[in-house]
Amino acid sequence: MKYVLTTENITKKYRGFTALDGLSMHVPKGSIYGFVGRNGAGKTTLIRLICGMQFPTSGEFSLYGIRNTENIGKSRRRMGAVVETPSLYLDMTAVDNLKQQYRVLGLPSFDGINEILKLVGLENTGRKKAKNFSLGMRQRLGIAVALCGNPDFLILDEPINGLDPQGIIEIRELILKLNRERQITVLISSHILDELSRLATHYGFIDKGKIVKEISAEQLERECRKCARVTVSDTKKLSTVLDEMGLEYAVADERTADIYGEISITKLTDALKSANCELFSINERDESLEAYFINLVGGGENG
Amino acid sequence: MMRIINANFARMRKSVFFWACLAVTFAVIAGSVCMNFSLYPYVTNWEQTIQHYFYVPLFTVPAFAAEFLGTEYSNNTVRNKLIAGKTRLQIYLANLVTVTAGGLLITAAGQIVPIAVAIYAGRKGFSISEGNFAVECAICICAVIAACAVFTLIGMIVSQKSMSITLSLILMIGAYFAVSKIKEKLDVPQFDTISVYNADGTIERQYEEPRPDAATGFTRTVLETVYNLTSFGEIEQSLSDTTIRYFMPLYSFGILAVTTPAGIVIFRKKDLK
Repeated sequence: MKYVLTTENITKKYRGFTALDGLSMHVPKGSIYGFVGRNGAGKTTLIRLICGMQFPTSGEFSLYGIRNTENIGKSRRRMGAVVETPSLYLDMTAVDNLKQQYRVLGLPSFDGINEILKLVGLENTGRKKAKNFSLGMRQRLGIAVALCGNPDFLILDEPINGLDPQGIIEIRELILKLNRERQITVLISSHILDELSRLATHYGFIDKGKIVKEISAEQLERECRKCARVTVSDTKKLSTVLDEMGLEYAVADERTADIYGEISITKLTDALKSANCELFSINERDESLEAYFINLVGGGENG
Repeated sequence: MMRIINANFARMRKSVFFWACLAVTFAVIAGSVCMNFSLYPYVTNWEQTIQHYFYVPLFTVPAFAAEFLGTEYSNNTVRNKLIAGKTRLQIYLANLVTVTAGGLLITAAGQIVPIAVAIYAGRKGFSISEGNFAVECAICICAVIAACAVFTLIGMIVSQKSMSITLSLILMIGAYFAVSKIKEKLDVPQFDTISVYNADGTIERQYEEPRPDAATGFTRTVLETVYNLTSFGEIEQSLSDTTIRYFMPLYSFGILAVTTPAGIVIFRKKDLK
């Protein structure tokens, strides 16, 4: 598998506080990599290091195979990023903001600006200055600035923080569009796990400055198994019935149990009736990304 | 680096604050020239008046520099340059060039009216030759460039815009008063000539006695160095008819040579947010 970004034992310390503690991660090419972690876990710190805003205390990372100790500027030109808040000249219009980034990148003409603004849905902002934009519009303009120069790797740090439902949908659709239509690899950090689960193809779970687990969305789906939670009068009788039917299950308490795999409700109710066991309810449930994350890093202080 | 300079110039052209600093400099100096004329209708020693007008941009340029550089931090747009693969060295040098260019433009705007008066007054307004006047102006311009290097250093290492503006202005106001005090101290003659008279009124003997309030020896050397290292001091020295004025550009270069590498080293190590 080809990786756009890999980090090897990256550590970042600030006067006695360790923000990153030997973090190693791998962002596959073409993926939408969901970077999941609680507040202060080190997500933004890592993003700052990758973007060149800060330097690692130890360890290395490589972007497109170029290590940070080498001439990484070349590979940084292939990426765009929105770190925390969008980096915009607030007293400039959307077009002027993009023109500034075009100048910094040394692009020969401003021809692509309208296309980028159209892509993020800001083509009709006219002479309105960025300081008068809504949060969602600023976020989209930040992404537009990051898209200048046609990057093939986009880093988005909490891109939907503070957005209204409409704004969240717009950003989600934009990210999917960029990934599917332009084959842009996206590293996206977010607290809103439900939202992330609609986008990510890969996940990296970070806790206390370390990657706890890296997993693909497919693997995660397999691990977050679907099950049917049944409530019965006697789980001992239920166990006998399920054993006879050859189904996998887990008893939760005297009255409830989780049954995994495909089940025929009719067969189950008939068998329970024969065993003189009353069936009260059946609910389909699956482990959410949130529950998976909590199980992985532990609840308590992480809650 | 040229790309960042290009982007910086484009931003400077659109900056309301830059044009405000330029307009204030122009207005203050033009107003002062008008007042001068109403009090003294005849133009004399105009070169000295012009040199002293170089003081004005030393108060407006730091405000421009701190605002211009501070915006990069407050809007976090410095990130866009780093993400675009620009090195910190390139960013620092490009900002130094931009601030210096902006500073010189503000200075030039301030000198429009005095120079127009100089052209109107012709030779009779000046007590020195054109060549001499050009040398004086060159020394003052070097002093402004050195000040821009200091403002760039402050603007690049202080991330907070308001703090950067306050610090730059306090530094310049402090430097102005320090230079006035030092000049006062240096102008005190080092010795008093004491004359002893005979009964008939003729001088029997004369001798020199050191003045206790005069700066001498090592203290004097230190005060002179500090005086020459400040932009206000350099502008004052440009008016001096001694050879010391020809060394002033060296002092300016010295400031540039110290502040720029220091600023680059600090900026390269700085953790940005």
